[in-house]
Amino acid sequence: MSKPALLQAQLSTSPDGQYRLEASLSLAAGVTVLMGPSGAGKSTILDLLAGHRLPDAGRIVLGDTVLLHKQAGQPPSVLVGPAKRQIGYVMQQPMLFPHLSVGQNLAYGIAQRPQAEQTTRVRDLAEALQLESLLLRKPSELSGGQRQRVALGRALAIRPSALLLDEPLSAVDLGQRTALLARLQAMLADLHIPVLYVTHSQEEQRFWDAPTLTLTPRVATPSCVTVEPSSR
Amino acid sequence: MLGSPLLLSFAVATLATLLSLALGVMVACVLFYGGHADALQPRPTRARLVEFLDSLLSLPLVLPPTVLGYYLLTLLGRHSPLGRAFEAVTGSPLTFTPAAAVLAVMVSALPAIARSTRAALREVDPLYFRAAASLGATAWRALWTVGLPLCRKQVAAAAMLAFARALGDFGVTLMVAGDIPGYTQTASLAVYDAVQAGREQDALRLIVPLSLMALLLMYGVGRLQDVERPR
Repeated sequence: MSKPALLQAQLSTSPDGQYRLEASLSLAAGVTVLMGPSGAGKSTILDLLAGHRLPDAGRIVLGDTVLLHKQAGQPPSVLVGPAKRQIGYVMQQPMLFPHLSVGQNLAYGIAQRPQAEQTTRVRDLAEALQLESLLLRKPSELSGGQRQRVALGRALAIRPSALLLDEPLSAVDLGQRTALLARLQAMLADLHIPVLYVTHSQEEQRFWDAPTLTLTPRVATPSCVTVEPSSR
Repeated sequence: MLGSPLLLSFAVATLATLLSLALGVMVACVLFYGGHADALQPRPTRARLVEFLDSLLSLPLVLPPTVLGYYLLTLLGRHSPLGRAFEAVTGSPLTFTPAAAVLAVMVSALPAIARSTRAALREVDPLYFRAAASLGATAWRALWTVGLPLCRKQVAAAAMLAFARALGDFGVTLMVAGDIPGYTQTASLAVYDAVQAGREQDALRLIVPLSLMALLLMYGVGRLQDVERPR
């Protein structure tokens, strides 16, 4: 029996007016891989899900909560902003806050929680991501792989209800990639939330052995790109 | 103590810069937020209003000091509602006092700081704001905890530049605070009086420290501006 979908989205948008992007997603708990050629709109889909872009029309539901409902040509009837979506988002570039230490970056999303809770959460994440010795360092003192781990930890700190990972290993050199993938897999296995993992690497796609969605240009209308499920 | 024109100038410039810094940063945040922060639902009308307010705020940077002084006198003079309210509360008029000198200097310091801060915020990579939003931060929190700290050097440079200009203000101060020796006579006014009276030594005693301070401030501004853009 298939797992119930936790994150559902039907989205239609026209990024930069160049082409039309149609996406229909239904993500259950666990990793789903999103693949497609560069410029096909993978990051656009993540931006739409995270709430950083508004589609021309669409609907996004996370669990029982409608995050967006918008009909074409009309303002959205439901719109939950990115700050309230509870969707963790690790962008292609880690975008760590350069003036904050690693520990402060990890705690940024939980700054409203009691200090003791923050300390525990940061300590646990640092341990899981092997960042304990780096907590006082600034992002400029970290390697690409370390920055990606901090970005991942920062997104997980808020205990998100869904997680979007946009080519999270793009800044990591090949030698570290396998080890980091294994660590990521172990961490995500305990989360039981939908995770959308964007990559254009066949190697990473094979590693996950997970349902894969592919951004494919439609033959009949080459100006339209659509998300279609493909085989594992 | 403040009877010395040089000390009065420093006191006025310091107070005016600190007040302008606090207010200018707030104004910059409001304008930035109103004009750019809500990318999800752009509001063209609000953006146009923000640009109009920005232009209005920038007027003191281009208007002649006498015109600015006239506006301030009209706004704060003994016959204006604000001037009357001030006099009713404090028992003395606002114009032709050291407080008026502070306000006179603030008129150009505030827009200079606000404009520079807003320009620096616009240079910040918007992905930082997106990252903060996805971590649950409101637009205001993202501005205060990410945007402004990333612009701190540009804001500091703007404040130093405003301080340097405040030290040398002449026209607006003369119109609003007057040139009362020992009370509202700042260094630049005292230099003018000394030169007019042929007291060159007195003028030089003010000119040299003013010039050295300006040089030091400009060097500091250059060092601060010679930093990576906030990306």
